[in-house]
Amino acid sequence: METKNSLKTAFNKLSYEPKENLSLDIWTRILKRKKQAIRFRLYAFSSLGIISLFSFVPVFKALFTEFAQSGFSDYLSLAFSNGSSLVVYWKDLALSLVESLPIFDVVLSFGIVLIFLISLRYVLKQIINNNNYVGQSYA
Amino acid sequence: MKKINEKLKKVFESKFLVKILYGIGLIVIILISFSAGVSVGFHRASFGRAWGDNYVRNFGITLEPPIFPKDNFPNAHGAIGKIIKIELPNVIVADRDNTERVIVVNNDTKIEKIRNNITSGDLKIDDFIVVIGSPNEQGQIEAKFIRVIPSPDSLLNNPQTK
Repeated sequence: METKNSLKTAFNKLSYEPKENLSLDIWTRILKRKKQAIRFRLYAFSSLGIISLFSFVPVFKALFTEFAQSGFSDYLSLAFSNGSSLVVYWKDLALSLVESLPIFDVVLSFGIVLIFLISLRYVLKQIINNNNYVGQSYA
Repeated sequence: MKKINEKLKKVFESKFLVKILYGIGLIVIILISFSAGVSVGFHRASFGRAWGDNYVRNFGITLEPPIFPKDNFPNAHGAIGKIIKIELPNVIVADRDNTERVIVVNNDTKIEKIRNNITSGDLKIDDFIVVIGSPNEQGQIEAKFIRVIPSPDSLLNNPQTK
């Protein structure tokens, strides 16, 4: 019992005291990690955005070529030039347009635009976050 | 009663319900798109099958078997190309996807050239036409509307005629 009490007293005396500036060091470390993560995301989304931007040219070129080759533009021109005559055959005209639509190229084009816009949005978000963290310190 | 109203209001204004509604809407849109794709694909495949099965009857015996265009099925409700043979009421067109199509011209078919209505007798070989019609079981397209347009080749050679 005496040993127990003396051990208890000894442990109570050994109270942990943190070193000076520990909390500041922790906060600085957290900020550093956050800035690194922001910088990584910024480079990643910027690269993705630039790649998608450069992909615009070949993808849209292929899209316009396919539109011309598939005959979609010819069927569409019929709708504009003979609209009143073709009202009766609207179903066949609509099916001709749908069948000649180059679906794959349209989906690819929209996909590239979507990737570019999402990348741009995230890049701007990272820039704003980076500006929020610049100069921030433990107050 | 007031408590029930408040609870109902809480449920209908909750973000969870909004997300569920968006999810259901998205599923509906996906299902409609999928069924539209299936329907169009079915029509094209049916026409492609009829076109292949009746190839010899429509175009005669050839040494090489008929080859489908690059995306496998020809368009079932229209054709664009140059007339290569006229055997009324059938007109054979070389389509842009390098396949031959039999266009059936009947009394109801409306044929236009520039702004004038013409008859099937006015069609000539090498005329470039755009056809809107319906497929039949013989792999032919029953034309409802035909427009004779300048050939793209002639436009490229003589751009001033545009």
